[in-house]
Amino acid sequence: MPEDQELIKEILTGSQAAMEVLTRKYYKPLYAFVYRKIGNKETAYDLTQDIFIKMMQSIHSYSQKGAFKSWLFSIAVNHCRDYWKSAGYRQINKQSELTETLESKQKSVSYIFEQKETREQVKHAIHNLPEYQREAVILKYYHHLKIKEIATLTETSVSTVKSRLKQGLTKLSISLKRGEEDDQARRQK
Amino acid sequence: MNLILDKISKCFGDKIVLDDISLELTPGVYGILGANGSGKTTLMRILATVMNPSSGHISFNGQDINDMEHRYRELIGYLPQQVGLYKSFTAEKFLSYIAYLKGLTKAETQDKVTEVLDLVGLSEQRKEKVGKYSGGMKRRIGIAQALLNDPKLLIVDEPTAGLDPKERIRLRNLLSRISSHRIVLLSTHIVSDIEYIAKEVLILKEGQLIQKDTPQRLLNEIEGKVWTVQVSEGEILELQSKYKVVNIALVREKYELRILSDTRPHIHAISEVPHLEDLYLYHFDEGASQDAAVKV
Amino acid sequence: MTKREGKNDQGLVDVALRDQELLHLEQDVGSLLDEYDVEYPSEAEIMMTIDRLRPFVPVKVNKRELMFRNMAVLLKRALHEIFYISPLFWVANSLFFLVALAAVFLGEQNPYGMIMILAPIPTLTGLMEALKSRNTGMAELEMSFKYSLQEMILSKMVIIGGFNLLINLVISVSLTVFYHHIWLWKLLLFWITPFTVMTAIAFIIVNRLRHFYAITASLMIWISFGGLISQSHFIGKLESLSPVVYILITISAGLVIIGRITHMYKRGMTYELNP
Repeated sequence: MPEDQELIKEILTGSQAAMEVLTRKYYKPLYAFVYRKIGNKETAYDLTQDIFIKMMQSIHSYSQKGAFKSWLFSIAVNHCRDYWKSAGYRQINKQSELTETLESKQKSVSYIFEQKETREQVKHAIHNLPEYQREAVILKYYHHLKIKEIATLTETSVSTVKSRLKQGLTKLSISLKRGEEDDQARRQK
Repeated sequence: MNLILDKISKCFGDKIVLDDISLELTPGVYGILGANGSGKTTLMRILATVMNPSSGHISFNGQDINDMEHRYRELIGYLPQQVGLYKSFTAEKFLSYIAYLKGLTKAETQDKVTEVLDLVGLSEQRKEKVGKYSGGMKRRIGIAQALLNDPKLLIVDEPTAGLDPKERIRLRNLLSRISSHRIVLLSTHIVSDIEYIAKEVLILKEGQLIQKDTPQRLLNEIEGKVWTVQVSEGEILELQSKYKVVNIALVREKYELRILSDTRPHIHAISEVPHLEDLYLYHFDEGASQDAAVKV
Repeated sequence: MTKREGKNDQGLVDVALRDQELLHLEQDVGSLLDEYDVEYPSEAEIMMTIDRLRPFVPVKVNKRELMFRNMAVLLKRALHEIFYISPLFWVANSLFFLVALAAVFLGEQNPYGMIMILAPIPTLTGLMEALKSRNTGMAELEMSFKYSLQEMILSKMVIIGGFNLLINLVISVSLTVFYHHIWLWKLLLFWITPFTVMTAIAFIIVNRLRHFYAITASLMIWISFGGLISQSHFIGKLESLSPVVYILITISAGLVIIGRITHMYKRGMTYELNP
């Protein structure tokens, strides 16, 4: 697979094919990140598209210094944060929306994955983490980014990322081990 | 359709005129407010490709405007602050000449010239020499030339400067009417020009974009900070030294002062509904408290 | 729960966190985290996103093709411009040359000196013509047009330069026809050199639009230089210079012109109008 830098160069000279290769290369990782962070299929699809548009709009200002992956993820991180902060989202209570989508998803037959119990639990546990911890955990665990990279693209220090990870993982470990009963109980609260 | 400015800076020598401006524009009217020397004109010149930025990129629908070259300039209509016009040309000839420079074909030119003359209300004066036009008419023919190529981005720098109130209202209505399906960028230091027609207001101060928001949200910010109070002549000086007095009017032998202040400036002060004018003065002192003219 | 969370957030500053601890935690929940898999959008949906991105890919430009296209456009516009150049320019220049020819034939002036003086004059007067819009305050507006002021000036310069070339050739040829002792190559060298040098200077001036009066100044300088050349001992010195010197000067001036034209075409011209 060609190097990212080369692809970008080709895109800048007008290659549609290079754009397609680059987009395909990062589509799944980016979608996975957004989906795990947002927890909703449709929104994740839309946001992923927005992120790629943002990428294309600012591709000429991408400096060759840092890794392209980090650059792209920093767009994604910021875009998701903006979405989180957006007026439309703020009005909806985070907890209730999540439960609601989970319930509606459970009813939908097509989405069989949702019915797996552990998956459900993990998803729920991750979504209950504060935003910054969730972000760090997803980037570290699912995307295998180095702590330093996470620090750079979330614009914070290495030690902050470490504590976010530690706290996030600790909470996950607790809530996942507590099992489903606790989870149910808390949801009803 | 969008126009994105990405970290635009402009320096003349070691003087920074525009400092790291980033913003996104979509169809609608944007009013740029700023004092003289705030970088308004420089920003507009850069967007009109009359000037190159010292650093940064501008992209239209994702494409760098430098790469677009002709294709970008085909999309813009520009009216600089000062236009000389070819004085010996009639309105019709002038517009035809500009149409030629804008790359319109002969067939298009005829129709387009008639159309824009109609739009700006100069159809009857089409055979008159532009040198003989009044200030307002000159400004209108300026708008007309900017519209010849049906621009997606219309840039007008201080279009209302030096016009009488009637002409100003006329021009404002014209701009508002032509703002659908295009980005209109309008700079002014007369706040009332944009108060009702702007989708968003950009405030530039010393080369920096200090605010970009809808007029309403900008006003909310100074809600409760605008006051009026009627005082005797003797109290004016004291209030002026303590607060930002934006207007002084003589009302029934008393002086009515309009004051910007976070707290009630005077026991008799009444809270007022803020206008954009207040917001402007809130950001730009411009010696308002000293120069506030006494209106009788 | 919420209370504990708040406390933990405060603990963000705890820098002394051990990586070992993290690793341990990761192993602890790692296998569980794996359970949270993602169902990706379908191929058709991914394709939709890609199609949405297509308009954002810069349009491909073949540099060489673009250059030829630009040249063609430039020449076409230049021809069009002939009609926009005021008749006064043509008349004044033709008169100029008639006078010059008369001076050679009747006044028996040194033909080499005469042609050297005359060579750049049309270019310089033409420059005034090319910069006309600066006088009428239209420059700023014209720069924003599809065919920007820069390109219009360039077209006009091409026309003016072409006219100059033509008129000089006519004179050179007619001189050699009438005066058999005049050597054509020397004559050509004597006008090509000042012509390219002054054209180069003209292009540099065009780049600094605000110094409009510099054109008048350079015209004056050139005319007084002409006065100097017409002193026979001076022209003698010039004639004794090696042709290599002339050729070198011409080549370097030519390079400057090419440089300026490319620069203008790239829109790198910096008109800083009342900054």
